Amino acid sequence: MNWKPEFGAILLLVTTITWISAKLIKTMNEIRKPILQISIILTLIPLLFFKYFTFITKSISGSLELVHLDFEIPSFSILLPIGISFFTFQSIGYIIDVYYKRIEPESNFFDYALFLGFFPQIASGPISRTNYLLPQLKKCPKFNPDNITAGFKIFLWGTFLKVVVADRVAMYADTVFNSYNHHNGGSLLLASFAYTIQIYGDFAGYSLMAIGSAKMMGIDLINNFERPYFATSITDFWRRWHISLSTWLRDYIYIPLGGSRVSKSRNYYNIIITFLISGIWHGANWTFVVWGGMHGIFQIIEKAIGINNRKSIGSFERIGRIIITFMTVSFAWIFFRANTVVDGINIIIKIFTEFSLSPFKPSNSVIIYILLSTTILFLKDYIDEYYPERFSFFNHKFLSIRFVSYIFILFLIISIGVLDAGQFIYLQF
Amino acid sequence: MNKQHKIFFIKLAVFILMCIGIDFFAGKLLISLHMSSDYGESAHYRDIMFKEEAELMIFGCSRGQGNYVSQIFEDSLKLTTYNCGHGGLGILFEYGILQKIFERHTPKVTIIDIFSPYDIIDNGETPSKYISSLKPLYGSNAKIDELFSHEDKTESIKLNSSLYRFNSEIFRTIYGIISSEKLQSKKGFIPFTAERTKVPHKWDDENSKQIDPIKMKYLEQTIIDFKDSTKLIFVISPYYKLDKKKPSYEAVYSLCHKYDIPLLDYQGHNEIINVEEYWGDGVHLKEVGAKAFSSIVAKDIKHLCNNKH
Repeated sequence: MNWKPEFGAILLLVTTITWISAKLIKTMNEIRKPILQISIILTLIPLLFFKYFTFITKSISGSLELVHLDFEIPSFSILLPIGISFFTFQSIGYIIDVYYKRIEPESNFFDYALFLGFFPQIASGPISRTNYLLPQLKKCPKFNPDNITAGFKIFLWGTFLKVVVADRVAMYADTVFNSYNHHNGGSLLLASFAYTIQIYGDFAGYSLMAIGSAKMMGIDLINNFERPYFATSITDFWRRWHISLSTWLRDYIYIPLGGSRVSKSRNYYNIIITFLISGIWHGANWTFVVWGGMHGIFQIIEKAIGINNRKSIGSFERIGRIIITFMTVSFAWIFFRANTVVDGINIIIKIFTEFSLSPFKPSNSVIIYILLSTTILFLKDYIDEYYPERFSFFNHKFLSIRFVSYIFILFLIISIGVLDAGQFIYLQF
Repeated sequence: MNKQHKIFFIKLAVFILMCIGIDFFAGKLLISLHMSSDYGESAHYRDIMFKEEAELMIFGCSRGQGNYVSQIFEDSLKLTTYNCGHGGLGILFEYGILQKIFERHTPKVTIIDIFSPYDIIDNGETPSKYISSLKPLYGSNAKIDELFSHEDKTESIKLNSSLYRFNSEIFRTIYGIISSEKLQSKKGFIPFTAERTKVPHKWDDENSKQIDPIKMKYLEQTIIDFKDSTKLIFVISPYYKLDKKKPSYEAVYSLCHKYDIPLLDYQGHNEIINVEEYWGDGVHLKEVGAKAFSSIVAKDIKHLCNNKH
C-alpha cells in the first residue's frame, strides 16, 4: 500500500464520478438505472486495475498452464493507492443510497469530497454512511473539551492495541509463519493464535485511532469492533468484527440479493456470495477468497443447525461457544495470513501431523511483554463485555484515577510498545 | 474563553506536566537500576563498556561469542582477553560499544568477527534491530547518537523521552536487579549449545542479497576511528562444508585492502569445515570446534604480530 500525490487524482476521479452520477440519478429519472450501473462500473475501474489486474492476469496464466497452454500475459508491477478499497466502497454506498432515495444527492462538491476523503478514515475505514457522516461534516463542529477528552481516550486505547498488543504478538507470529517449514505444529498453532490477537489489535487499534482523532474534531465515526473474540458463533463474530464493512456488505450485497427472506438454498447462496466478495475485497489473492468462503460456509452450517439465533444461553454453554468460535476464527485466519493457499494447507497439515508440546520459544522479554499486553486486552474486553458500568478506569468519577489510568497506558506504550513505525495490516487492503 | 475551556486547559497542562515528570523520574530510576544491577545480560554488556580492561577484546555476533575461546588467546598471545560478542547483533551495535569502551580504555588488539548477514548485506532488517539496546546511551556520545540518525525521522524526537530509551529493555533491566544469575561465560566466551538444530546443515541464506550501505559505512568508520589506537583485525569464521567462498565478503576485502587492515579469512578452512563433531549448526561451532578454531586463529595472530615487529 502506497501513497503518491498522483494517487490523489484517483480519489478526485472517484469523487467526481459519484458526485455527478448522484445528481444525474436524481434529475434524469427515466435512465437512473443505467446511470447507476455505469457509475458503479466507472468507480470500480481504478480498484480493479490497481488491486486486481496482476491477480487476474496471473490467474488466467495459471489456468492456461493447467491445460498446457503457455501463453504469457504481460503483467507489470502496480503500486496500490492507499485506502482505495475503502473510499471505493464508501462512494458506491453513496450512489446506491441516492438511487434508492434513502438520501438526497449532496449539492456541495467540497462537502462530498470531504466525506470521501475525511483523513482519519480514508486509509483503512471505518466505511462511513452518507446519512451518518455528511451531516456532521456540514455542521462544522466547534471546539469542545469534552470531545477532545473522549477522543484522546479512544485514541490512547487504539495506540495501545496497535503498538503494545498487535506489534508484540506479531514478533511471534511473523517469526514462525515467515519460515513455517522450520517450525513444528505446536509453534504453528501458537502462531495462529498469536496472529488472531495481532490482527484484532492491529485493525481495531487503527479503527480506534481513526475514531478517536475524528472525535477530537467533534465528528463521530461508526464503531468498528465490539469485542469480536467474545462472540458465541461465527454469525455473532460478524456482528462484532469490522462492523462498517459487514453492515455495508449486508445492505448493499446481501439484502439486494434477497437476504434471508428467500428459500433456504437461495439464502445459503446469498451468504456464500457475500462472503466471497468480502474475501476478495480484502486482497487480490486466492487465500482471501478461501478465507471468505470458509466464513460463509461456517455461517451456513450455523444456520442449518440453528445455532446462530440470539436466544440467551447459560454461562457454561457460552464459554464453550466462545472457545469454539475463537478456534474456528483462528483456523480461518491461517489462510488470511498465508502467502498462498498451498502454504495455508501446509501449515494446517503440519499443525495436525507435526504437533509438539515444545514450541518455538522467543526471548523471556518478548514472552513477558506478550503475556502482559494480551492479559490487559483480555481484561479490558471482558469488563466491557460483562461489567461495562462497574469498572471504567478511563471514565472514573475521580480525576486522579482517570489520570493514573491514562499514564499507566502511556507508560506501557512508551516502555514496551513496538515503536518502529510499523505498518497497519489493513493498509494493504 | 469560558470556564469549561479554562478548566480543560488547566487539566491538560497538569496532565502534560505529570507525563514529563514521570518520564524524567522513571528514566532516572531505570538508568540507576541499569548501572547498579549485578546480574543478567544488561549487567554483562554494561561491564564490558564501563569496566572491562582486557588487552585483547573480541567482537562479533553469536559467531564471535561462541567461536573464540578467550583462554586460548590469553595462553597463546600472553594478553588478557575478553570476548565481547553478542548474539544476533552486528557492526552497528559493535561500533557503539567500541565508542564507549575507547572513551576510557584502549585494548592492544581488537578482533572483529565479520558475519555477512549482520555486517555486510541487507537482510531486510532495519538498523533498530541492531542499535535498540544502545538507546540508554543516547546523549552520552555524539558518535553513538549519530547511529540513530539512520532510523526513521521520528526517532530523534522519541529519544527525548528518558523512558523511551529503555523501550523493550525494561524487563531485562528489572531482571538484572532481581535475578541472582550471572551470565554464564568464560571471559565472555559462551559456547554454542546446539539445542535447536541437532544436525548441522549448510548455510545458504546469503545468496543474491545486496550490500547494505549503512553496515558498510560503519565497518569503514570503525576502521577509521580505531585503526591508529589498536591493532585491529577482521576475521571471517568458517562455514560448515563450504564449497565456494561467499561473494559478499569481497566488500570487506576491498575495505581492508584500502586501509591496510589484516583480514583473516577462515570461511573454507579445511581443518574445521569438514569435521562434523565441531559443528552445532551450519554457522556455529560447538565448544570443541571453537577450541580448535581459536587455536588456529591465535597462532595466526601471533604470527601476524611477530611479522609486523
